[in-house]
Amino acid sequence: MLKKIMIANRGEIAVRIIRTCRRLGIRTVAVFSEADRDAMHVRLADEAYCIGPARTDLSYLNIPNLLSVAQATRCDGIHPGYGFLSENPSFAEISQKCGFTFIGPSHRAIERMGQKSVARDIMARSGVPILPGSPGSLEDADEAIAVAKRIGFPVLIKASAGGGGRGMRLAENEATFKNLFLTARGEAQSAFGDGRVYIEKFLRSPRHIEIQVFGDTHGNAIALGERECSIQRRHQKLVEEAPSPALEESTRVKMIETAIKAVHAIEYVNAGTIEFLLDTDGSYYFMEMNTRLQVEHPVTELVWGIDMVELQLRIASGEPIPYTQASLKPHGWSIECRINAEDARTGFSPCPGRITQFIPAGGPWVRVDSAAFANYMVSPTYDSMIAKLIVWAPTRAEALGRMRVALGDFTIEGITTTIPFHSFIMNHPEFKKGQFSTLFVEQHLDEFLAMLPPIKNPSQKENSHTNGQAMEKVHAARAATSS
Amino acid sequence: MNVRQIESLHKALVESGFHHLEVTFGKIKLKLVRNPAISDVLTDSETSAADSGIGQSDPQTHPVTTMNVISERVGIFTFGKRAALEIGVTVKRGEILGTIKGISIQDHVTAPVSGTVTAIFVTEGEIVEFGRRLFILEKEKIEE
Repeated sequence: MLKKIMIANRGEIAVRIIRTCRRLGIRTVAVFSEADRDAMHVRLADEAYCIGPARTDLSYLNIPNLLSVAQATRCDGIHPGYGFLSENPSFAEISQKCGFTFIGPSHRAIERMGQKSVARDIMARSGVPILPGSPGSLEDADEAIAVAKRIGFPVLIKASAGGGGRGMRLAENEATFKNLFLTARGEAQSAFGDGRVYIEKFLRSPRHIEIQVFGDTHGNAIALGERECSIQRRHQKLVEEAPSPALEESTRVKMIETAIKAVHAIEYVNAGTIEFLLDTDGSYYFMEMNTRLQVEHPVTELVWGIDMVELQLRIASGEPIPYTQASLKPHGWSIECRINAEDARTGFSPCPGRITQFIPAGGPWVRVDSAAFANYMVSPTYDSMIAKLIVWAPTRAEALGRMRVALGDFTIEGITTTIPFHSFIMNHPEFKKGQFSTLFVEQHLDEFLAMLPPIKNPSQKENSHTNGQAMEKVHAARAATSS
Repeated sequence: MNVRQIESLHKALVESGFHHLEVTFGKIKLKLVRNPAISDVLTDSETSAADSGIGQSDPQTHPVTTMNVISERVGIFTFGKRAALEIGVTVKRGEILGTIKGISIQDHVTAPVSGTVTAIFVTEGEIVEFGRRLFILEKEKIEE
C-alpha cells in the first residue's frame, strides 16, 4: 500500500481524498497557492507547501513545483483529484518517470481518451455504440458539410481536444453550418491550442447517463452502475443521482456489459467514467470517457457502499479489485446537488466573496463534501463550487424529500448560492416524476426566475427553506390549473 | 460582465488580502492588481502596478535599505559555497547564497544587492516553499 501521497489539488476533493488517506493510515502532503493559505485541505493534511501565486498556471498547474514538493517530502504517490492536471497525460507520465505512483490511469489511456475522436474510434472498435458522426477530425469545411448531410441535421460540431462545452456548436441546417464550423475551430484553437473538430448527430432530448468503471493491473474490471446527470447547464452538471429514473433494467444490464467490455478492450486501470447519451427510444451512444475521479462520485459511493478513493488507492498500490461484478449490488437511491457560489438571476455568474455563516445540513444519510467554512473567502480565481450536498434513501421519493429538507437546513450567508435553484428543481413536478432531459434547466429556468423577488443584497440570508415552500405552492397551483 | 460584478470582485480582492486577481468572463479578461504602496488600484489591462515584492524588497514592511530574499521555487535548500553564511557577513550582488533543489531543477538563490546579511530564516536541508523568506540583506550605502 502507498505510504505517503501528495494531493495535487485543492478544495473539497483534496479534503475528500485526505479523509480516506487518514483512515487508511496514508500520510498526506497538501499543496496550495498563496490564495489558499487558510484553506481546509492545508489544515487537514499532514504537511502542506505553497507552490505558487493564486494563478493556477503558476501553482496548481505548475508541474515542476508540484513534483518538487512530492520529491522533497518523499511521497510515493500522487493523487490528481479532478480538474487541474487530472487528465493531463504529461503530468501522469512525468510523475511515473520521477518514481511516483500516479493514482489514476496510465498516461496512454488519458491521452487516448482525451482525444475525443480517437476515443470514439477506439470505443467503436470495442463494440460500444457511438453516435453517427465524422470518422475522425475534419479539416475542411466542404468535407465537413458532406459528412453533416450524410448524418442528417441537426449536427453537433465538437473540439477534438475539448470539454466543458468550449469549441462546441450546434448546426441546425446546411446554411448555417460553415460559419459555425469555422467558429468552433477558432474557439477550439484558442481554448485548447488544438483547432481540430469533429461532428456528430445531435439528439434533441437526450439524457446524460454515465457508467462508473474500475479496472486493475490484474486484468479485472467492474462497473458500479450508472449516474443520471441530465440536470446540467451549458454542459456543467448541477444535480446527479444514482440510479437513473429513466433506465430500464435491460438497458442498464447492457450498458454495464458494454462498459466492462470497453475497460477490458483498452486495458484501463483505476477509476473512469464512460459517458453516454440516452435517447428517448432507449438507445444509447458513447459520448466520452473521463479518466479521473468525478465530482459526482459520492452518489455511486452511497448506492454501492464503496469508498471509491480507497479503491483508487488500492488499485494504484497494485492490489486487485476486491469485488467481482456478481458480488456487487446497489442499494437505494442517492442524489447530489452541487452548490455553487453563483447567482441564477445573472446567468449563473460567479459570486465570489466571504462566507460569513456556514452551517451545513445534517441528519441521517445526509453528506456534505465541502472545503468551505464560516469566514472562508470564495476566490474568484477558482471553481465556484463550494459544497456538494448528497443524500441517500431507500427510494427516490424519500431521497428527494431528504434533499428538500437538507437544502432548507443548509445555511450559507455572505454570498449568493444556487441553493434556491436546487430547491426549485427538487420541487419541480417533472423532476419529481423523473421526466427530464439535458434540456431541463434551459426549459424551466424562467419559471424559477419568475418566482424570485428582485435582486437583493447578496449579504442577505439565503432562505432556501422558505423559497422551497413557496415553490412547492407555485408548482401545485400550476399543476391544478393545467389539469 | 456588469459594474456590480466588478465591484464584488473588487470587494473580494480587498477582503482577501491578495495582490492580484484575474478573471475571464467569455471574451472579457479583467485583471485587478492591488498596489500595496497606494491603496487599491483598479486596472483593466496589462497595467503593471507595483511589484508584489516577491524576490525583491518589500518597501512596506522594511525600510528601503533592507531587502528580503524570498524563494521563488519549491525544494530542498542548501547553502552555497559559503556554508559559513552568517549574520553580519557581507555579500556581493549576484553572489550565490544557497541552492534550492527541486525535481530536475537546481536553482541558485543569489543576492539581489551587495550588502550585509542581517537575518537568516532557513536551515540546511530544509524544504522551502514558494514565497518563503530566506534572508534579509542590508544594502550597502554605496549602491544607493
